[in-house]
Amino acid sequence: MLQFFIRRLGVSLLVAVTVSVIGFALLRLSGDLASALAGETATPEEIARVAAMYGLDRPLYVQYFDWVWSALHGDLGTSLFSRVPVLELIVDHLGVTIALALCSLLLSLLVAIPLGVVAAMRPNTWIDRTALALAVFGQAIPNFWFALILIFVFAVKLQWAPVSGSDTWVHFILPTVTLGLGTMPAKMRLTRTGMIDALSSDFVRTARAKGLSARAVLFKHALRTAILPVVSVSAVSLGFLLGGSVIVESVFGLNGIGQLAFQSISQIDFPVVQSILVFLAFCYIFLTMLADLINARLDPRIKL
Amino acid sequence: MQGKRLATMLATCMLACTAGAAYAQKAKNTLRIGLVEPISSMILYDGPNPEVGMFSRGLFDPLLCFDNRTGKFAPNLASSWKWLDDQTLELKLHTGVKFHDGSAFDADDVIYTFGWLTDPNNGLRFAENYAPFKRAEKVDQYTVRIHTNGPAPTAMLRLAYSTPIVPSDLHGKYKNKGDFGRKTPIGTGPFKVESFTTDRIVLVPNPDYTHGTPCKPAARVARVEAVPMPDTQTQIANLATGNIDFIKVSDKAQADMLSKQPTLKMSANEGLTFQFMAIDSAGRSGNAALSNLKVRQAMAMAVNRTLVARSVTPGGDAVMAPDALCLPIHRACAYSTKPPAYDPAGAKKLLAEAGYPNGFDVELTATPGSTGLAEAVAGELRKVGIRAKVDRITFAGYREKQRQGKQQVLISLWTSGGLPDASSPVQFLFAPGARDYWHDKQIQAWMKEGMATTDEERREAIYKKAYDRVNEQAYVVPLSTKPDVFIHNRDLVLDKTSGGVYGLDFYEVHWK
Repeated sequence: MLQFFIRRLGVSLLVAVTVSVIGFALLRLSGDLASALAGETATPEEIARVAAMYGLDRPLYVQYFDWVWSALHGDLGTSLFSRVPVLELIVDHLGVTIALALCSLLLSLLVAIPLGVVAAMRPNTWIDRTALALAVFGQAIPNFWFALILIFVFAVKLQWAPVSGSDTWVHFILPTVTLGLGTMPAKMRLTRTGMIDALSSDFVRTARAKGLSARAVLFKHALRTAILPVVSVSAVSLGFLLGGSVIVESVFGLNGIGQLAFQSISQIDFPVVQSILVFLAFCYIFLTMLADLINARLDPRIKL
Repeated sequence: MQGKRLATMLATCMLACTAGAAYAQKAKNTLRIGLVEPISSMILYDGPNPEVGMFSRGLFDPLLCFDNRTGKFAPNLASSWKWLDDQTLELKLHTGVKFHDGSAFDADDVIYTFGWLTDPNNGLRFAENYAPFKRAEKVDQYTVRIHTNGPAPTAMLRLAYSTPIVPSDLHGKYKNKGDFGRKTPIGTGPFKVESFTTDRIVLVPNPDYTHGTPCKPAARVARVEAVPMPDTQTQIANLATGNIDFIKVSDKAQADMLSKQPTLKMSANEGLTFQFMAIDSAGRSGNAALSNLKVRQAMAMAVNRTLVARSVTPGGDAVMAPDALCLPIHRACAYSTKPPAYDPAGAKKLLAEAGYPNGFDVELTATPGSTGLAEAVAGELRKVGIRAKVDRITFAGYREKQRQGKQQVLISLWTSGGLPDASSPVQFLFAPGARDYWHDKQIQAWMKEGMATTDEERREAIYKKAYDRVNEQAYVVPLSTKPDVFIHNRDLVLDKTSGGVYGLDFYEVHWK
């Protein structure tokens, strides 16, 4: 276990460094930052002054190591646009995103797992087909469009929920449904496939032969095996939800990390973008490690 | 595009379905706004964008106010002013003015503000805005002198538009000056902050605002609430459900559809922004046809400017085709020539005379926000045989292309840099550097001359020569104005105000 952990940590650090280097290089190569920062009317002298002010006139590798050194000391720099410390900005926006991501993940699991189990128990029936159709619908519909439909029906016509904002838990209902629907199909399909495989496997047959109740066979034996890929996918989808909910955050006026990233990219606020990139990379790494550990707990056959 | 149209239709359905939505805010005298971006600082120095500017103008006062409606300066924190010479402006300050925290305003706050703005290590992104200012000198507790670096004809406009005065004690104590605008945004303006997070901003009137003028009056609403909602459709849905009272629109289809709703109204306020077609006459892009004056004139003649602009720009009759690159609101704007009148037959004739009877190929570079206009202009050019194609480009890509000398024709817009002065458009386009696709030494000489004098009559005469030459040479064709367009509750009055860069000021908005 410890060896596995150390090995994974080494790989994770390598991934994080790679992401930060690529991210840093891409941001710096995306155009003349100093000229963009200095503004449309800046003279060459003014552009040079801005470049010197932000250290953009130094070699790229010096800038990179300087950033890493500061980051290791807990200083992610300051936003070029608002002049707010980046760490403070990220912390400020993180709450909304984490709340939305966890609620969406929970909703998608609450829908996907029972639906997948029921579909697997009644393969090729109308129940199965309905579940698959729902999965196709969830995968096919663009989330910005679904969000607008939800707003139109539930916020504008019925006025059951607010259009946008994050003041109360009620504000999170529509965005949670939007994101939850988008991440549900993969989990539902995996649960269904896993359950179909598990239900026709030898160990389930043995369990039934031993006279265990249908419920025990289903939940203690079959589902425990079938759920393994869902755990991995959930970890990855939580990573996606943390970083990839820009559109939904935008439509519902949620001031989260996605929104901050989008705003920072459009403002060429590279200290913020760079920090968000690395932060999200670490989130992915941590979550996939967590998924491996949970899988190992669920299935003793997995060797760490 | 398709998605945008569908979303607009959906948004219109929303409004149609809720035409009877209750608007309780009028009774509460509250103004609710959907912000395009979350705001992290309330002062212009930290967030030089229109929305921050709107809050900054409401909370902070500069020394002077410039009224876009009259084209005149008015008192703000200064009650009177006079130029002692062309580099020294003396201002008498209002007495009895208080900051929102109750502390008194006096000359020390002005001296401190200018000391910070002129410090080369202040870390401000747009420090060049304050380059005209050398230092501020205290004469007595309520008299200051601003010294400029040489004659500075735009100094007073800069004072009025982008130089809010900060409280010296409070601002001075912050090591990171950016903290002031987000932790304690305390000014002397008509509004003060009740609460401020990145999720919600609440402003209430400043009861101590006693130095108001028609240019910057006291607040007329009892409360302003602002919440970020970046998505336009979300803003429309909130407008439909009565959660916000107005939105700013830049899409014509949206503006047209929304303004037809019985509960809503469109207001288009003329601002400082105009749209233009800039043609490479210097041959930097390698398109030889464009170096020919007759070709450029033909291109100007081929475009029905008003019709084209109104077909893609919201604002109805407020969208107008100016006859020069400067607008009437620009100080020292003068000209005696006009761009060639719309004449497709004449354009074809000129093309034939120039040696292009069968037209030629040209690429129009369109910056974000001008792509629709560029497509419309390309259509007009194709009618006279000029095979125009449009390159839609990002801002960073446009700057890169411009630097590389690959910009044949540019369709873009310019906000006048937020300063209503005739120096702004010529300086922006014709100053030596990446943007200069004309290399006109004469215009550059006039530009220098215009910036070296504070005599308004002389400046007018200088800029008249410059703008006449731009028209005569068909370097840049002014296509249209671009008003600030708002869709709002019918009972809300959003008349043209003294002139925030956002196109409105909170303190002038009121309910019928």
